[in-house]
Amino acid sequence: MSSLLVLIATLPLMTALACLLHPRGGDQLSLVASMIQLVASVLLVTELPSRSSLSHALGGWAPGLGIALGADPLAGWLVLLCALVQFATTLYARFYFCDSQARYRLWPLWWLLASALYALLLSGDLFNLYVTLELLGLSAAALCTVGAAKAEALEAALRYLLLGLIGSLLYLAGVALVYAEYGTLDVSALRTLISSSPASLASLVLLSSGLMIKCALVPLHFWLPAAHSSAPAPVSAVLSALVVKVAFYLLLRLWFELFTPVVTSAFATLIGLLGAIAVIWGSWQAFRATRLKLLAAYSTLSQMGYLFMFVPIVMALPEGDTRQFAYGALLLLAVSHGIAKAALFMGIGSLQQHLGHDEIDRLGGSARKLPVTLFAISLAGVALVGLPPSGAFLAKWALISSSLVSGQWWWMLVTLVGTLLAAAYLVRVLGAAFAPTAAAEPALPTCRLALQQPALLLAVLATFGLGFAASPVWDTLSLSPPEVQR
Amino acid sequence: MMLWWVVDLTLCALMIALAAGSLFAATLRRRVIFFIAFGLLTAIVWARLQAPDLALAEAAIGAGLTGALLLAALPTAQPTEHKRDADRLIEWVSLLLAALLAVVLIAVLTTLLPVVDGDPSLAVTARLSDAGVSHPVTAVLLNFRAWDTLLELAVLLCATIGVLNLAPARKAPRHAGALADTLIRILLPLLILTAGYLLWNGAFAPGGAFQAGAVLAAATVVLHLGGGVRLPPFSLAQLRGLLALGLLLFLSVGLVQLAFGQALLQYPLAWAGSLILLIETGATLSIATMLSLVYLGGHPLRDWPVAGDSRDREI
Amino acid sequence: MSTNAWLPLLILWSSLVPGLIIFSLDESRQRLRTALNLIGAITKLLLVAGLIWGVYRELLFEFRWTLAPGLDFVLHADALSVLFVSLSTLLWLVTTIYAIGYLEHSPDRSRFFGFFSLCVTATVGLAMAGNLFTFVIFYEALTLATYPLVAHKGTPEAIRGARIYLGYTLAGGVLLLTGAVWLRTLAGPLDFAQGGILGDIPGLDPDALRWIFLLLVAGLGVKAALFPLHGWLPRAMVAPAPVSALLHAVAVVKAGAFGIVRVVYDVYGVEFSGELGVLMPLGALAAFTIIYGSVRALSQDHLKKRLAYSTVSQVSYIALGATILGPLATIGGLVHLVHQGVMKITLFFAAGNYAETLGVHRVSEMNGVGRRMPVTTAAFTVAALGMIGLPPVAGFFSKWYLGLGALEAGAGAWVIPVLLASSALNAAYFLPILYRAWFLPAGPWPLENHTHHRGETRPSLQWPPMVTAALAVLVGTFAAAPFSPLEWVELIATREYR
Repeated sequence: MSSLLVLIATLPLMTALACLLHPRGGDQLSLVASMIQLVASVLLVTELPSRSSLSHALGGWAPGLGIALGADPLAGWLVLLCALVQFATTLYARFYFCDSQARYRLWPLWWLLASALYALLLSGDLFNLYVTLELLGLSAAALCTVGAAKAEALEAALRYLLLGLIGSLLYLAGVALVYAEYGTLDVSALRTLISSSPASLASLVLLSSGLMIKCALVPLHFWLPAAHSSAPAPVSAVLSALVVKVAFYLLLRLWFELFTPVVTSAFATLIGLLGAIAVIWGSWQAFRATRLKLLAAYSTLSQMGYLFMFVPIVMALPEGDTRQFAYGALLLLAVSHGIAKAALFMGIGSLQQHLGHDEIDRLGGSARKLPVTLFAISLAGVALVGLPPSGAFLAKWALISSSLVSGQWWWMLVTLVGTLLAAAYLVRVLGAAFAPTAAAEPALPTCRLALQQPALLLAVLATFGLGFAASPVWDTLSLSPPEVQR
Repeated sequence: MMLWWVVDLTLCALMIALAAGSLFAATLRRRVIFFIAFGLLTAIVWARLQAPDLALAEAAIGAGLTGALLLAALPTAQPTEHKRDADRLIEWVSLLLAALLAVVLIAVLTTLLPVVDGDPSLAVTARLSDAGVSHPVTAVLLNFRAWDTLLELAVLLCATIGVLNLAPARKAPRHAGALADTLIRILLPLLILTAGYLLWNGAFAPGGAFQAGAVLAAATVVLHLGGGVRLPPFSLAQLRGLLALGLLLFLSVGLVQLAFGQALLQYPLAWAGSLILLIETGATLSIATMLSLVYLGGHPLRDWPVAGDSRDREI
Repeated sequence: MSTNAWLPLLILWSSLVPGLIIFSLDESRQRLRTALNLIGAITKLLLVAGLIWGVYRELLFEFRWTLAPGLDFVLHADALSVLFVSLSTLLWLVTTIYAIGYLEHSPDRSRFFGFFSLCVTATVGLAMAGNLFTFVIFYEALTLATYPLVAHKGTPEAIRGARIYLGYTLAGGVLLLTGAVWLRTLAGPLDFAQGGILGDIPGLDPDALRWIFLLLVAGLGVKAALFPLHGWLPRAMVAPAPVSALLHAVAVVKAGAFGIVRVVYDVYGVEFSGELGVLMPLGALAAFTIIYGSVRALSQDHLKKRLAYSTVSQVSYIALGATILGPLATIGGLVHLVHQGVMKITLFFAAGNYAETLGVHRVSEMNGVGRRMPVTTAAFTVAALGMIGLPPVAGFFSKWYLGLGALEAGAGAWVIPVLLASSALNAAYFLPILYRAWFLPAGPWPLENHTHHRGETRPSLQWPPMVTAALAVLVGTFAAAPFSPLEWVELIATREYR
């Protein structure tokens, strides 16, 4: 089944080229490709339980000399997340950009971004990962400018690009150190090689800080709100749902699989602390935001914080069921946030198209005019806050429970406060939307309203789908827990 | 021996001085010139470190094209800089962090000395006979780690499309005169010849698609600067085709192998040399197109990426 | 999956599915919407009848679905859940009919009835929750489903009231969640079992258990409107009358009280909680809330606010019953779950009728409404007398059994005076209303918008209070008949103390 890996890794590239060569067919090509990709990812995930990891040696060369594509359950679930979000946002983007010229410009970049995401998730080589990070950063920044006329959008995109480059460079420096000390870039070989040494520590710090810029962990978060809130809605959805997520995925690999001898509990606690600050600060900023997209961007900041708070907890748990439970919950939260955040951004995009703005105080009457979108936003909000029956609720239950079991109850307090703050900013939006129509009628929409269903689909999935059918996440993970792979 | 020490130390000192110059020189133009000098010096350092491939690439891209790009991007009027206290603070903090990083890196690197030439280089030499090319760098780039190079091409493509999406190309400068035209007429064939030589050379000596593509792109830059000689007209479809060509060839060659039950990008031994040359040729053309377009700062035709029926040219 | 697993699911779906369809309906599809509502409500009623029969014969009804390792979603029907399920199902039917009449010609009805159905789904799910985890899920779901109902009118006042409501209940939800997770990490899966589960687990830290009890009760007390967590209830009365009726009689407030009963009886076990010494403080708080609510009700001129404070007071009877050891007090507390529901819903229906027909919102405007709207006022009178505790209306029996139970447990010395004082206060705030309504001359009504019907108001508004008032009298008069609430509660009590 390793041909699945090849398909998933190369289909986006082929689609990008096809959309570049034949722009007028871009809409159909993109839809078909995103559907194929979705089916392939589902197959990949269903295939994984039988073999805990798949791999494909590129060029027929053994890893070390060559590069191997590979997938384990962790990668598999994230591939599925990407395919799912990509499918819904592709469908949405097709209608969001009503100017066909903008779509011609969009699709090649859109699929190059997808190539970067999948190549990153499937890559088993530290330097190859650097290349995928470069592609990711560049395509993300380039996508921010599609259809954007405002100078702030360009400025935010430029800042995004530069910070992404700094992050990549730090990562590259870390890779160089690893190569200098251990003489290989192959991740599976490094698992057994890496030991505690000054160079290992330095490379861990360099790699981590490079990636932490990319997933916007406080205090390296300052670029995110502007970039994510000024991009077009479908792009924001992908940026917030996927791009930060895959950088976090790499961090997970580094911390839990590669650098385990180097990652001390003090280091993990520091990471958790930064995550906790992100949770509180992000939620608070989201609560104070005046624009919907800014709110959503800050919410991403805080949601990423939860993921980081899992790190010291999982580290502290003894290997076995309890650790597995927490690790699975961490993955579930990442997936759940990805889906819900994409739904939220798409919903906001529809509101913005309809009203001509996204200011929270002027949302009055939108609940009546766009009930489907409002429903999607509310459901996505439920999943973001972590209320039942969403997948995020299960994850937060696990977070609280694991923090109690590991004796680190303070993370529980942060979770609870963060949850209440998140609920507060959600209620602010809903309250504004339920209010009667504002005095000024909305501006005439410049184009037909984008599809509202993709957002609803994802929101329902995050709230009910992941809430009631998430146990496979744990089932597959338990077959190849990170500690077994070592 | 002693002499080399002196040379090396001078190079290091010069690099730091040039780096400082490109950060702190009085005007933007001077900083750019310092930066170009820095790039050339880096090429020399690579040569000194016995990495001629990198030296070539650095000279062509790092100093040459990037320099041209930066010079072209310079604003016509010197912008007045208002440095706030916060900016100064950020500058100082960044400097401090950079210095700290340097110290830590030096300290860490000393723990790694002496670096032995480890397994990977041995592995490369051992399998070089199966790679289809005799130059180890090309073998790594186009065969052992071809996936990296393929994605690097995608990175370049992505950057180019990003630039093209933003704005139309800069107008060509005024016609530089008959003398320049004559010069260009001599220079152009030479540049193309050099590019072809570098491309062919890549199989067994330093060279290859990136260097060749950069030299070809330099030809475009020269043409553009001269302002007199023009390329034959081409269409948007041809332009898009040129952009996609390298990646498309690379990917197709890689995928075709799957049909024969091989791995992705696994070349049959007998064909490896020719296939690599084919891929490199496509890549050279694409890279040249991309670098030229990035230098021009946008799309050279009236519309991008699809036009109604306009078939005009600007270069 | 046997049939016995399907019945709880079907009961859940019988309101969930119509609700979801209603959401997607266009505003103008009034007939289809009404049909869906009624079909759902009647189907649910029939299914619940089956459930009652099954539980009476001690059949096992359980649906189990693993959400995460060690976290099961469990629907389980025992006698206690049946009590709450049948109450909500019956009153949902009545309230739906009332709401259809009440909201005639008003906007956003699809949204309203959609959330209305979700609200009942959550309530029924909460009643059938088989463990604390499932209970938390439905408890939060209920919060979310009711928020749009409270905010329904969209006026700044409604949105503020809804926000306060959500603030209180979400904070309560967080406390409940914390307690539930903590208890889960100490004591395992927490499936509800009659007689409690914690008493049988050795090696639990009693101090931790006391803290957890505090967290759980505080979380539940928000919805049950225990002092000092009751602040949202009087503000939430900005909601439309059917919503208030549902909130006070069936869904939200009852969910909190029901949760307290679950925690005391089926998680901690009443005897074990007695040993931990957590019942006494809870009982005292409940008693204080009973008095406090009544005193506050005295001074309210706004009719719905007065009723709201009355709810604060009355619901604490249930908590009070749960804290007194012994079957009689259990009976008194639990049966009040039903009795208070039936009576309070009548009062809110009547209040809604006054507001809708005559524009009367305040007690001071009620002079002579009895002569203008005799049927509604008669229903109001019956329910009010029941609240005071006059036989044969249902309310009397709750108080009677509570008093007997207190004597049996030796707590009569403080419970009986509380009951008496509460009755006196109830009389003090209800009787003046009755006096005004029947005996004072009719004044000009603030806003009379009823002109074209023959009865005193629209039939769909007039019938529901009549039905529920009759029900309040019937469950009182035939308290000893088989399958009456009282008999059923005795069944629960015997199973609990078995």
